[in-house]
Amino acid sequence: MSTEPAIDVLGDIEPQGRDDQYEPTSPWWLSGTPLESEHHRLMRRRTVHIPWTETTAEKLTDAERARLAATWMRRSEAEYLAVSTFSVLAIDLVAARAPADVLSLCLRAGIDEIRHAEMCIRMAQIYSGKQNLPPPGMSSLPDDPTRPKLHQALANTMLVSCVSETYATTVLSATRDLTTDPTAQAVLTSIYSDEVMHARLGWSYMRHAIEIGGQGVIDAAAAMLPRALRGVANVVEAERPVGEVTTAVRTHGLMTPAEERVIFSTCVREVLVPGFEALGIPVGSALDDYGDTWAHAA
Amino acid sequence: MTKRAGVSNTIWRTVVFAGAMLATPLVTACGGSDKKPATMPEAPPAADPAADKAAADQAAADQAAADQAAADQKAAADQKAADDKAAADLLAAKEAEEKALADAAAAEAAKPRPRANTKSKSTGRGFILS
Repeated sequence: MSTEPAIDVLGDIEPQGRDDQYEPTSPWWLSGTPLESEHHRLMRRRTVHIPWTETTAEKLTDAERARLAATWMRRSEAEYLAVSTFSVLAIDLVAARAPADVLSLCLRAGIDEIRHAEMCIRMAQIYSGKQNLPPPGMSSLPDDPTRPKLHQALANTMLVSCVSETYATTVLSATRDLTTDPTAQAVLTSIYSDEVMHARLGWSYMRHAIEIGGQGVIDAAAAMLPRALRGVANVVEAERPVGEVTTAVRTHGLMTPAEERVIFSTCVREVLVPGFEALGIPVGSALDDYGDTWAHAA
Repeated sequence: MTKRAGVSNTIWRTVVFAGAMLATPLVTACGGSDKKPATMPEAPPAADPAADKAAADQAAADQAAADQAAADQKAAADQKAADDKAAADLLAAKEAEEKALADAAAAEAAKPRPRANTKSKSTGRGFILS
């Protein structure tokens, strides 16, 4: 309802980019129906062209390709689950009568995650030579029907968007910096630019929710914060596929678990905690929980 | 600035600061008044008495002109006051309508939500790095 001029929240990101050289990313995952052409129209909306044929995978050893295939397949599974994450989040936002722009961006995020899953599937295929699909499944988000819908929507937005997606932008940005393979670099860039919007969605909605809901919203956010941080930490601490992360593997978009711990710890300290504190949300023991001791525990 | 600090700074600026609009102060539901302070009208200039008839005539003519100007000014001021009151009434009605809508939305949001009650499990979320 604001009549104030919109501030430039898009920065240097062009979220409506269009890949004019688009080609079907993972055609073995499509339905074989006329829906495919409309799907391609949706998938074409990405910030960079992906030069699939410029991959340097053939220069890797068999072990290195297997290591990369396993990680990109795991990524495809996570991105596939994220489709349902944003779908469930959209239900919570609709229940709380979130503003239209929040709803549209949330639902668009689900479509973005389909694009990401397709790209990760194709990356896995580049390294493995196999056309595999992620297993079926869906994400579960915390659900407490007894609490106000605004608090439920805000808490899950914080979990999904403010924490998980903001961390994703941090780790993707860092990973891109060491990736020299042109195909992997473009895929990571494409995903990164979408994740920036997915993360902003959360911070904007949190601001909005606090302004209309006051202290109750702040309390709900504070209660969710430890769980949200633990959710990301679970990913960081998870076991990794077998295989060494060699120098060559790193140039295709992988870091070591030890490096990732440091990135998450830094993100908590320099991005997440300052952001929540700026909005008046108590952060409890977040800095201690994910401080230097945790960062160097691997 | 180290590369890692540069990443944090970029994400802070482009995601958190921009998304949460931290450049503008937070105004919660129980925020302050937007009433503007009243402005005081300027005092009228003091009259200069006439010394002779010509001066008195001139003064009378000036007075008549001044009276006419004052009357015109008063009429304009009255019209402006009426316009301002109408605009204020309109604004007040709009604010009352918006408040009623906001109150209704807040009451609706305070009710339990309808999503199925599924037990959540401790699970990981986010981009898989390696």
